[in-house]
Amino acid sequence: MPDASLLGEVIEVIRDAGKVAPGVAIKPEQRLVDDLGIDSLDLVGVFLSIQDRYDVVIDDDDVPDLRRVVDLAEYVAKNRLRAA
Amino acid sequence: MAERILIIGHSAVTCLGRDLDATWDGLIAGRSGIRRHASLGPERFLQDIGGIVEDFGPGSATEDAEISRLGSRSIHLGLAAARAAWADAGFPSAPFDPERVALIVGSAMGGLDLLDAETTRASTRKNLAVSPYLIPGLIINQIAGQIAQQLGLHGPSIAPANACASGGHAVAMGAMLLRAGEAEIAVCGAAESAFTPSIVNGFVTMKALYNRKGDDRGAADPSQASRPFSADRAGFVLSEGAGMLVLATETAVRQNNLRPLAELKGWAMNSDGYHMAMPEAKRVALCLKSALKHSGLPPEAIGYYNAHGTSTPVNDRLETGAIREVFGDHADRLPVSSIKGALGHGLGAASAIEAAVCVRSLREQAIPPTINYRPDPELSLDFVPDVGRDSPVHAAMSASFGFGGTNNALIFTRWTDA
Repeated sequence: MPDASLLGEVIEVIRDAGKVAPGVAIKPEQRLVDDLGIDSLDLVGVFLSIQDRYDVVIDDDDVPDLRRVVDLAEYVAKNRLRAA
Repeated sequence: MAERILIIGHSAVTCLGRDLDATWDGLIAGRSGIRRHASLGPERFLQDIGGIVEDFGPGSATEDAEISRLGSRSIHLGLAAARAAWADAGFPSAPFDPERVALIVGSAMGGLDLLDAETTRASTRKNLAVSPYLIPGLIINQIAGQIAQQLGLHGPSIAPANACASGGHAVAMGAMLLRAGEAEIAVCGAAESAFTPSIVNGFVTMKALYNRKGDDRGAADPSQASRPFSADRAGFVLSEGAGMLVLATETAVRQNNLRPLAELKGWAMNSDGYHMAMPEAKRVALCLKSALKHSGLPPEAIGYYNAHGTSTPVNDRLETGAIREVFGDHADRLPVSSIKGALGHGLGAASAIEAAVCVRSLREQAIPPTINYRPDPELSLDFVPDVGRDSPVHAAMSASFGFGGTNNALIFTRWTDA
């Protein structure tokens, strides 16, 4: 599990770029599409915002594995570290 | 007998005000919406004077949340104007069939501001990814698309891209669709925001944009940079905005008890077939004559000519000559003004804003002035200098001419219930 600070940041990126309503709580285990209802274009927007914010590259091959909020946070933690 | 085409809603969003009331009040008072803008800094722009709708659009406190994904200002401007015109027409309270409402909304440049911003962002990425909202926000017809989506309209949708005549073409094409029976109501207009380095610097390079320095009165006071028909006119000043009209057939107006504001009496469109950027006097005059013929009105019936009047040396000289040719002796009695002195040149949106202002002029029986005017001995018309004028106006003509040699003229007449 990534640290709480990073997880919180990623959740805010998901909320902003994924257009998740302010009143909806976003939890680590929730699925981006099935639980949070993020549509396909907004999902790309989320990945792009993550790339821009953390200076990482999300490979298309990795996208199918990034289904939950925590998956995305772990991806950032792992690849940001590698980039550094 | 052909269906009469009536105006039932009108609106504008301009650098003088976020609605038509504020814009009209500013115009009549002789105010300018042109100023220097920090967002047009010299590191990227050759000119920082322009007409920007402040505190508006993507990222602002007044952002329209329904279209927050689409970062093109032209979409936000167009939707704001459409919402206002739709409300002015009495909708959605008044009855309408959404399948019978057409959308004719143009722009010269569309979402180039979004393209510029996204290109800058993408340049720092480690891969070639581009925002999924770039293409939806870039396409010119997305303005009409979002108006349809947000207002729940489902008739035919067309996006005229006729440079600086886009809005006028939209109004004419809307009327043609109504006459053809393809719809009974049409939301017609245009929106524009093209403050990107490529566009601003491109117009400067063409010597079309005002770019005087030193002690020129416009450099010292940006509100005097745009000065149509003046002896010292020195190019147009770029601005952004949107204008919108709601047209309806007389049948729809009667059936649904809608409120007419004016009648669209005549229109004309033609092509110079002459030059990529220079207008041709002969075809411009022919366009004005064709609109008069289409309206069935004699030249003497026109009580206000709302000029394209860009403040470029070429346009204003050519247009003055066309007015003299078309109106003959009546030209000496015809009030002619260009509101681009106050609003700058909103490219595709300009003619839509000017159409809305003509409708307001008929309603108010007043004529907005040409501000910053200093007489040019070669251009001797009544340019309604500097202050608005109360005047009986039965018919108003608005003309617009665009790069690519595309011309348009509209004639509106006053509506009286008698």
